[in-house]
Amino acid sequence: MPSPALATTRVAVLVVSHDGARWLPGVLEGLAEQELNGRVVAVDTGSLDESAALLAPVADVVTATSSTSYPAAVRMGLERLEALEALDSPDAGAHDWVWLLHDDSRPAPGALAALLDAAEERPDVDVLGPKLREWPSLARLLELGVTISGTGRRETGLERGEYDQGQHDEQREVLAVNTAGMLVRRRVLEELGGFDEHLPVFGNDLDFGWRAASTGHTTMVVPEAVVFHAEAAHRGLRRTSLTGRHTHYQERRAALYTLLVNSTARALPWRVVRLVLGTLLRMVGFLALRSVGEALDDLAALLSVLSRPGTIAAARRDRRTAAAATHDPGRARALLAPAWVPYRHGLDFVGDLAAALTNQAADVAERRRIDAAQRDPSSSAARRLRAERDLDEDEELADTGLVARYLTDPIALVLTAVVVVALVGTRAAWGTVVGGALAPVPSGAGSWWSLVLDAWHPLGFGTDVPAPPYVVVLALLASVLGTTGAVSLLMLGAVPFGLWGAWRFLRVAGRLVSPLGAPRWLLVVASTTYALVPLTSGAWGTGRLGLVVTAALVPWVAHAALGFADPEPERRWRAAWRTGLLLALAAAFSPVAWWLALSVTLVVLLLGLLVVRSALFTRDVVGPPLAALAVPVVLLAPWWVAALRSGAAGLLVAESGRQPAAQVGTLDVLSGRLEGGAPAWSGVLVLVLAALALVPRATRIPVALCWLVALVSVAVAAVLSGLSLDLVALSGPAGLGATVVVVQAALVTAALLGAQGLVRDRAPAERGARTRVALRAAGLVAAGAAVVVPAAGLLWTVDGDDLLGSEPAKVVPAYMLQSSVTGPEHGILVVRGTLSGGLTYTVRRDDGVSLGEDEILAFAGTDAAAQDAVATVLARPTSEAVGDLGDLGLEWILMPAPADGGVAASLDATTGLVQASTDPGTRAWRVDRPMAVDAVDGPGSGLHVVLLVVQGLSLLLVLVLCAPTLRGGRDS
Amino acid sequence: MSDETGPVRRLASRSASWRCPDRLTVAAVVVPVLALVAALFVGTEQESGQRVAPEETPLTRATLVCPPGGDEVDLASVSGVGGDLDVRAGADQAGVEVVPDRTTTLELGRRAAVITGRDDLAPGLVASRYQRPWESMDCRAPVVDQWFTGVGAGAKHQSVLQLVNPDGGRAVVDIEVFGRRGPVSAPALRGLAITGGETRRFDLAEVIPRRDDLALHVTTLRGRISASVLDSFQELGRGSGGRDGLASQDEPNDSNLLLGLPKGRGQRTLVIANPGEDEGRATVRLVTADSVFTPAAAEDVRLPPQSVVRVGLAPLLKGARGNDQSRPLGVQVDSSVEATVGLVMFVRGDLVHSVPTPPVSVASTVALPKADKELVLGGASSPGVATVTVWDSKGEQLSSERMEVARDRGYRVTLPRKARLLTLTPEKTGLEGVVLLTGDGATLVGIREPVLTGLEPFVEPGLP
Repeated sequence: MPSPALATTRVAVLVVSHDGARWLPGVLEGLAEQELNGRVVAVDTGSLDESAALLAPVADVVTATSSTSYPAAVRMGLERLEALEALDSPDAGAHDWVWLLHDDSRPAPGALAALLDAAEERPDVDVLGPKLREWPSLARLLELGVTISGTGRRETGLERGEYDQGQHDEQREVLAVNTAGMLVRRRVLEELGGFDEHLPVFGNDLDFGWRAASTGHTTMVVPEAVVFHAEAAHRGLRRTSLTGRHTHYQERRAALYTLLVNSTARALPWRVVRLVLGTLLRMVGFLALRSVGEALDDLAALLSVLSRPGTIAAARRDRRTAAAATHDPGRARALLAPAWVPYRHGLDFVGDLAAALTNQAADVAERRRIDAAQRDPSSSAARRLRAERDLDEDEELADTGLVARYLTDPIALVLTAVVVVALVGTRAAWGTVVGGALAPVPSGAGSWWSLVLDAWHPLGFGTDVPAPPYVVVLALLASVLGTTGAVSLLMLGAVPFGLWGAWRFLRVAGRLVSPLGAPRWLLVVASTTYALVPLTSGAWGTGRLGLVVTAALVPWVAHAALGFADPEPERRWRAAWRTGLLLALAAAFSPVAWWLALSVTLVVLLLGLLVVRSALFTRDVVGPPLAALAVPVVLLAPWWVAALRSGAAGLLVAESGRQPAAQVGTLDVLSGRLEGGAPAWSGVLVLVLAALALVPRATRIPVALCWLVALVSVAVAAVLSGLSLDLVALSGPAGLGATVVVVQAALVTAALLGAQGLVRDRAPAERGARTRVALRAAGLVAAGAAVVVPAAGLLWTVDGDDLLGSEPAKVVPAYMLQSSVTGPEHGILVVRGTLSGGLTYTVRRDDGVSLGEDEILAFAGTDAAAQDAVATVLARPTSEAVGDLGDLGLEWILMPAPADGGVAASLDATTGLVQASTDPGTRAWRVDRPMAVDAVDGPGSGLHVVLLVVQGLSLLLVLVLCAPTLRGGRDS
Repeated sequence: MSDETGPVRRLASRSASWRCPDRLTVAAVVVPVLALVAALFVGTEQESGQRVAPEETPLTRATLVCPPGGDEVDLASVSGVGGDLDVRAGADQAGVEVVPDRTTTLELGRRAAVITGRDDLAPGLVASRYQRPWESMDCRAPVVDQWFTGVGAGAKHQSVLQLVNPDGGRAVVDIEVFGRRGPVSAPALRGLAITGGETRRFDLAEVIPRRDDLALHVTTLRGRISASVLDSFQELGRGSGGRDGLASQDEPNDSNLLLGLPKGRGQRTLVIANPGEDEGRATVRLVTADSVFTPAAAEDVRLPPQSVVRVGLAPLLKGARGNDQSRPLGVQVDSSVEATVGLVMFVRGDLVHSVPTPPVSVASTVALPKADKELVLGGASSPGVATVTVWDSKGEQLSSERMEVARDRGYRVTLPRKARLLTLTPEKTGLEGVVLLTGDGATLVGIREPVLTGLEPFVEPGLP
């Protein structure tokens, strides 16, 4: 039935086309299906295809240059309409309405009629828009009217890819409607001056709607009218000289412009600030998604808009004049997107990122199976996969509540118990924790930042030996948690974090070996055994923070490295960046970790070269592991370069924390024990189980690979144990802790895979009953032994001794400390030993040696002149020698109890030294002369600054590169 | 999707070709065995710093302090050169010339004397202080830690602790007192500050009045202090009494030799202090010219922790007073814990103290007054030779006797009355020696090794 409105209302259809030949036939077809009373005017803006020819039969075509903007094209169309009306017979009447169509928007039958009906029902409405659906998918909703958020985002109020099921079918007032399918009263269009020419392609509809609302006009969306829209320009399917390559830039620029020219004068300053900050935040977001181009587009758009304040002022003036009579800003404000919308988008983004991060690598094994199944859909692997999926869906349907699932899952309860027991065992780390190799923390994160940023440290006699690389991590953590909190977190979190990592790694490793993976109870035993390594090795109890953190990181590194086996090259590269980042973190805490990774990688590649032919060694296979090795080299550059330059190359293989490192022998490396570790027998048990794991044939190859990793680690340990590091007073061993930890990880993995092979082996069913019984008995014994290891570890954890306490030993009297914190030149010479046994001295400055400074002091070369001066004062004190102490910035001499009487007596009798009060048994003197203010100053280093910048930038880059891929925008 | 595969996948897919048991099984055996073999080569070593013994350097400055008591101070230098020594007594200060092999005698009253030798005169500075009836005060360089055993704080046996600060700066000493029933609380003696040049005297009968035998542990906390004890014994009612200086012992020992038992009737009391936390037992032996033996009457002495025990020697010496050959020359106290000892003797109306002196192994000299005297030697650590040379007041050598010494024996050498300087030179052995002065009462003078060199500690930087 023809619409009654159609009979009386003349509507001019205005089609703007540019290279739209791909869609135009459909558009014209759709137009032909409309009942139209009026003319069709087309403006072709310099199409290179046959657009103009396609339009010519049905419309009056205006030809314009390709640089004609959409607003200009509309204006030209209206001019042509006016010219045509002049030719029309006078009784034909003027066209009251203009219906704007794009060359990629096809109206559904009856669209125009629906719009006109609505216009007739609501005479107060001047602008009407249809329901826009995706073309060619047809069913997905694109827009039902749009509005703009405070950050300039185009808000449709729809979910991404939402299907049209009539859920939004109600007419409602909106801020703006898309120009594709916009029916606008011609009078209003002309009154408002058409579209803003500053918005050539994008965003002019929003601006128009906002202006219309401000001047009291009503815009309404009419869902009964449907237009299919291909959004060719937005999706970059069509490039014009106006959109260029950077559609994102154009869109963003339009959004910013729209916000700035239409907002009220009062809100303008706040809006500018918000957009600047918002842009920076968006850039971070884009960088996190590796969308560098979009991040730069955002920045360019902001700069482009802000650099033309005159244009904005003029545009604002125009709008004020136009709206002077019927100004109604409240109306537009009510139609803008609610203030909370941007925050919800931010939350969504973070949520998506977190979900992607946790999901991305868990399924390396899964993806390999899917890949295999896709290549051979008829294979049994593919059949099994389909069966599993069906099962999964059933399980999902039967899903119960989270709490109920947790409480009924014995595995979850056991894991919780392990964590609780471990937390009880590590309770000493709640709050301040010092002792063993762990120095007290400084008072603030600032001290750690100076250690990182300065090339010269006022420690000892002043040194350019670099701070250990983990100080950066500590400084970052401490900036949020405080120094005590940072160390507590690492010491307490090691076991739970290691447990989580071990669980993830072992589960995927098991599934890589066989599709079913290891039984969960095996995973519990194995991951608990490994998670306790930081404790049972003795690293925790002796305050080896670096080793504790490395031990917790090892399964995470291994898990990331499993990504090298991903079927997709792109994912392999991402695994490389992720592995590299984690490896850098591990190497920061235990430098030997990098050498280990290097050795393992080289051996595996070499083996691969022998087993697989070199022809298969493509860039995408060999590249990622090598890239992962290169990442720590770049990220830790400020540290290792400075270490080499300052002659402290030993730092590259040293253990973190107080030197010298723990002694490691044959049994230690095999049983995973260092000084202060749990009894060795439980470690030997793991070794035996790992050896037995070679027996089941099904898993012999992966178990042998684990043994290969263990072999490489032991070999590295053997090589490193031949090294002797020159420390300040003695020579110490290299830090073998990381090798001990990795050997443990390899043995635990081997034991798990072997057990998995035994459990999943179907062969026994085919063997005789006696064999079955024997095998079962052996399995039970092994299982018992396997359970004993973590159980004993847990018991020892709660019961075991450690060197940790909460109070650093107070050596220095309070008044001396007060003096020494006033500046590095008020140093304290702490002297220990006896006349007959020899004296050792250390220099203490500021608030004493804090975490991160031990290594610097241990590797700082001895300044011969300074050592001479100190030795002279202590051995044959003269007033001249005492004067030299002032030049070295040493104001105090302290001999902690029991002070050697002979040495004390000779210092007592020396002029220039004034006795200072102390506790009984301790002796102290003050050097009675002014201190040289620049005593421990040293040169800065331009190279260090450059390397820090490189470190920062490469960290950002690696973070971006290893971030998961997010599906973003409407175009995916 | 590409058909590229990771290295692990390649390995896994090769497993089909590894089905032949040999290669895989061989690998499964070889790799773990190699790992175990490689582990044999793991072994870190840590060299501790080169702990070097202190370096001996020429002594450039030496200070001896002669505590108050006794008029006469005998000075000598065995460095072989003459020159001026700096002597300070109270506010008086003077240079005193010394000549090699000659004793210089000073009359300084009862004030403390600080004798300082510089440069060539610093090594081998020797001084003694005497008073008639014979009492001797130990003139020695200030030490940090010393023990006085056999101190009295009662009506009969009274001791005065004298503390001398020879330097300009303040010094602090701490004194622990042990008594029969454990440590004695003596707050007045804790953390004593002595200003520069000051001499402080503490009459123990006033500070800690008590009747048992005591031991003092004097520790210098700050600065240098010369501590000495002047002891007196009064026989109540008889009016007779005597005085003597009580020399100090440097450290507790599990074997202590007390040489010199003057002849005559009197009370001889051995005082043993066990400063340790553990109880111990001590055996008292007698040293004669023939042997060291445990008398039949001797019983093991129980040494309670941190306590002082008194042992009367009369039962042990009974019957041992015979001829010269079997006359005891000294007492040896062997104990299961480290102890300090002192022998308090009131013989013929005079007080005599015997205290262990560290054995000497180089030529050691003592300045002596004009008196009847004999040298008692013992405690040889191995068979060796000892040469005893004496000079008179003019520096003329009176005699030089060379004698063989053996372990577990005592030796007695009678010295000329006019001998004023004695040098004991042991060879191939360490030896303990005292000079017993008699005639007008008696006293014992221990022979100490001269300080010829200074010690410079080995200094090295340490790890924080």
